[in-house]
Amino acid sequence: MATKAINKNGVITVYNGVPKTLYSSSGTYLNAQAMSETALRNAGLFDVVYPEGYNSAIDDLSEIFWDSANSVFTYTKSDKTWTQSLEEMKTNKISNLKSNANSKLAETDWYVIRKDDDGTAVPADITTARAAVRTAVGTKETEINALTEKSAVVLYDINLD
Amino acid sequence: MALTKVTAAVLNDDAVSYDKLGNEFTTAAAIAASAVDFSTAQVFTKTLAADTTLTFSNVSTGMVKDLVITGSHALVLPASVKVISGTYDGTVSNLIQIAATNGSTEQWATISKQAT
Repeated sequence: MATKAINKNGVITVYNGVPKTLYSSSGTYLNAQAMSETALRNAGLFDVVYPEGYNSAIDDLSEIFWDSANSVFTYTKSDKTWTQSLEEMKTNKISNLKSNANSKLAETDWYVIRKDDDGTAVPADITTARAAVRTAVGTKETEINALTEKSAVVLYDINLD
Repeated sequence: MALTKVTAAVLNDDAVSYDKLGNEFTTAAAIAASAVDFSTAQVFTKTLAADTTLTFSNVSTGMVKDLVITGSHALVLPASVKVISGTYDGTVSNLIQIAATNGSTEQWATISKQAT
């Protein structure tokens, strides 16, 4: 569903798709979702285009504005800033990584507990998978510690699936 | 001597019956194209066959008119209309009540739809 926007008397309103009722400076459009794209544009409702490469995790957006050259509403993007230091962000990222690993290992902890209880061997594939999780954590922790940009820390994928 | 006011001898208090009201208060009219003349009927009806932009005329402060509209197309109300509540649903009949609070400058609309 494309994001749309309209300028009514100098105030730009952004919609997630076409609203049922569209308030325009030329009138109120009831059942606007039945209108064609051309009719919507004639009413003043146009697409909202995000800047190329925009990532909400690491970019901030300007106020929305009208791009007359392309007949769309758009924004400019700027680098997001963080109050935490790079080291603090790495520490938090690694903490989250280990939390993920803990959750992942918890799924198969019962195999290990059973082995302790009654000596039933842990299946080889489970042992391999648990070792892989621990190896992945070690690898990712090293990679995180090697990062030099805050944005890179934010974007670093700590998914273990 | 010319009459300057309606006296009880001419028209008693509480004596204006429904039958005595003009057509603009008692009749329903189909909107032929898109023009809604407030001086001609109380209720205006239309089944939309295409996107339709209504125009209002002869609107005076205090008038309240009823639009009964159906049809799955867009219905555009004049910029002077402020919608208070309700959402148009083209799959059923909609009662759009227009109250004029400042002549042709300002009207308020409430939209109610038929229960299904």
